[in-house]
Amino acid sequence: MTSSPPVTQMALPLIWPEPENDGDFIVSDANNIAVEQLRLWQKWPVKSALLTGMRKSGRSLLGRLFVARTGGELIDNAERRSEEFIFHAWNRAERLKRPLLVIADQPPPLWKIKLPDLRSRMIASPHLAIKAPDTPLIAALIERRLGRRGLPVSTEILEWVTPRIEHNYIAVLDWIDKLDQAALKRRGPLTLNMVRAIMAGEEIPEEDKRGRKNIF
Amino acid sequence: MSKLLGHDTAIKIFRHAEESGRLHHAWLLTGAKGVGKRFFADQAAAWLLANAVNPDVKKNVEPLSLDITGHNPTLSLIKAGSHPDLLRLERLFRDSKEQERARNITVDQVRSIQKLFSTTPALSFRRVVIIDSIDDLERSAANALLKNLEEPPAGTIFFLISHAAGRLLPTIRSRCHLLPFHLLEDNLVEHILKHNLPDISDEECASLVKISQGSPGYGLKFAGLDMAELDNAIENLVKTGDRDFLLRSKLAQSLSLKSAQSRYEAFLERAPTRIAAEAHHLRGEKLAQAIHLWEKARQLGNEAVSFSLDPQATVFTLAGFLARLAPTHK
Amino acid sequence: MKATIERATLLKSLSHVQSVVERRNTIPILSNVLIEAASNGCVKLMATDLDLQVVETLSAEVDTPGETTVSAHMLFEIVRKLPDGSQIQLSAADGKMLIVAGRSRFSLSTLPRDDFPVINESELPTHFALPTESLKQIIDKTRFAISVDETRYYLNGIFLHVLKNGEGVMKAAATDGHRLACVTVSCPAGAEDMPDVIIPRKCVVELRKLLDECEEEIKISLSASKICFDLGHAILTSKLIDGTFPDYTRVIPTANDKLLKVNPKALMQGVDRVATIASEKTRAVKMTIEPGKISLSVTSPENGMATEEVPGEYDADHLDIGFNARYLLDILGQIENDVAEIHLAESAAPTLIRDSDQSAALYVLMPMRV
Repeated sequence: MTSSPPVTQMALPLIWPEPENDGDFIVSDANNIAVEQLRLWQKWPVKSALLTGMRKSGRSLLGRLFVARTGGELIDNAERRSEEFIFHAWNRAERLKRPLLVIADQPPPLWKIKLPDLRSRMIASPHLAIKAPDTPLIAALIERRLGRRGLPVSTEILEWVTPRIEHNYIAVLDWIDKLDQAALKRRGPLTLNMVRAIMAGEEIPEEDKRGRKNIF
Repeated sequence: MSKLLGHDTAIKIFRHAEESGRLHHAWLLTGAKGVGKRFFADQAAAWLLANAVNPDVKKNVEPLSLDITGHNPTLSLIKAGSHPDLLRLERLFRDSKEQERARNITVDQVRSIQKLFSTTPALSFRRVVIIDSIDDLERSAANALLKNLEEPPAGTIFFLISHAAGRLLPTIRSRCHLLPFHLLEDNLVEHILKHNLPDISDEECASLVKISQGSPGYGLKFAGLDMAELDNAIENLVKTGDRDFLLRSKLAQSLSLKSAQSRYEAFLERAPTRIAAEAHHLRGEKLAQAIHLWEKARQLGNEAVSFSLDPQATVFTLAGFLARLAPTHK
Repeated sequence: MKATIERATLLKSLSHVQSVVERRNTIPILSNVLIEAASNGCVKLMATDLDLQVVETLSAEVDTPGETTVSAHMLFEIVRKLPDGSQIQLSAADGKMLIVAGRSRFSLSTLPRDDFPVINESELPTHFALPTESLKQIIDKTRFAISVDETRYYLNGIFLHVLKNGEGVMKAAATDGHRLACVTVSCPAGAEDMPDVIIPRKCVVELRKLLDECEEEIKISLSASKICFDLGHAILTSKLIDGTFPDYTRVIPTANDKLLKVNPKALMQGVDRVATIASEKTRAVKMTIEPGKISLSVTSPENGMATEEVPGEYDADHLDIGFNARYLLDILGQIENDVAEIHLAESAAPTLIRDSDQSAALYVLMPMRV
């Protein structure tokens, strides 16, 4: 036999739009405190709150769902916005009695706010944090995202993948894309063997009639 | 169709949910076999599909009924099996034997749900899937169904029938709205039997009411099988103990005839039930013995069909269990 | 019901409707054709597979209006075997339909008309017309790329949409995840606000069969759940695929800077020849592209190797790239000019193939790792 690498068809880098509604945010131990506090926004000591979380943690989605429900204001990527702008928005929220949600990577002092009046205001605002994804959330994310693209993922695969995957959102999403690309290459459903091969960094051989029987 | 009797509460809950616009997308209908779950699912499906085409349909239906009377195009299509937005899953008939159904609902059948969902509905926004029963799903089929139950397309309603909800996967149960169906009073059972069997004699009707034990559909299965005679034979076994093996030989021979297939199946169900009934009157060691017999009889009754055991030998053994209930038996 | 129809007319219409009927049907009524005879001398034949419905209208001599259903395949076979030029009389009563032509008589059992599911095609909100040639072009240039993988059912059709940026163009696209075909036509009046739709493959196939006999323009009406093609003599109504088509425009390369111009016929012949020895499973052909020439090669561990040179116009850097021979042949077969433009970037990036920047159709092909 030859020792050359296997010949494989690559898949087009297609991207699927993600629809958005309340049911799209998956609640788990990683975010349920934040979700609960957003629900009880009328009990906040001030009209503004700070939401932090890793990239791709769903913080912007949560924010958009929040303002859609409450009619409040959202400032995403706060580190990259003008501090005066945020300061005025904070004051406006108090005046109009309308909630303001500020989304940042990290809370002060890690978020270095130069404007003293804004710094003190942000420190006085409730801080809601989305934590790193837990195992059930990772499983639900994989199942949901791939399910939307028409790829059912068996419980067997989920149980195998979740303990082996890095617990951070970007890693999980990368994984979802990898699994998706692999299945697209093969133009068939996902199998545990494929998933094992991807995890081991192997090339996924192309569509193979024998392999297709192992769906269940 | 006609009105479903004895389940006003279920009808009320369902109609209220539909009319208030808060219809849960998956309904788990639970209760004993033959109590009316399938009848309900069929009527509720027709109700949803017909009203989705023409909202005036419900105006002509009594408040505690789902029975659409008169000519309706949705009903014609459902009856012909050609309604494009309705899918019914049940155990398929085996290719080889037309009368016999497969042991399970297969994963391929469950995949046909995805096929239904992959195109838009044809006649209205509504789609209905009935699974009769969810207890028949093979393991992989149950897993495949979970995905469909999780996020069905808008307007889709599932009716899942279960005769043994306790054994269901919790992940399926948790996705459904539970709708329990209770056993009916004997007089209601009698009324339903007579409605379905207008020519039935009072004697046979009484015998079927006894057999039904609150599930008229269960009793109906034994209609026309001369259950009085079969029950007589069972009573004789229990009373005399059949010391010379004559009764059981005769019974085994008569039930093993090809023409007696239905009576044979009736016997497989009746024998364990009779032992259970006897156990109610017993105490102590006798009771323990009866329970042991009942377990063995039930197992044999189940395996006889699924493993196609020899009818004559099966009846002979089961009749032996019955005979051992006799007081004269040591 | 009683009507008399000329054999050739009936045969042609029946051949159209019976191809929609699924051969192996467990539901009896779905094997049947619905026949409706109206007092105005119009006979309609209708068949369905629950996803797709076709209605053919033909003229006849109607004595008694009425309607019935009989086995589509059986009726087609009978009419096919009757002598050309005969007049066929159909009359239905009491669960039977009598077919009389010359000295032949058949009596077929019927099923009630009410059992036959009919999709109402008259209530679709969007209406527009497309030239028959445009519709043919849309289908012919994209259907080969429609996916057959049922897992991703939303790729099992042609995606038809109108750009919402006011450019006035309608686009049709199909992809199986390895290749993409896209046709752009000008947006017909009435389609400006149409919902995006995915037309199922079976509808595409049946529609294409009927297009060759059509007049100049096809009237199309649609909603988010149905599409209807009025072809004059026939009306085809189909359910749509209930899913979201991926944003395919992002995989169409815009900055591929290595342009290869080549005669598509010459390249096809070369690819076809060297692919003879390629393994059935991969069908991989390697292209080594240098200024002035393309070398095609296949190396198969089982069979040996093959090479061929094809002339081409190219002045960028040397590039090695592999393609599935069948995919490449499919696409090259769609090129109408004497020159195909192949826009390359690198050996692992999507490749754009088209006639020219003026052409309505473009193709994107993902390479193979060779």
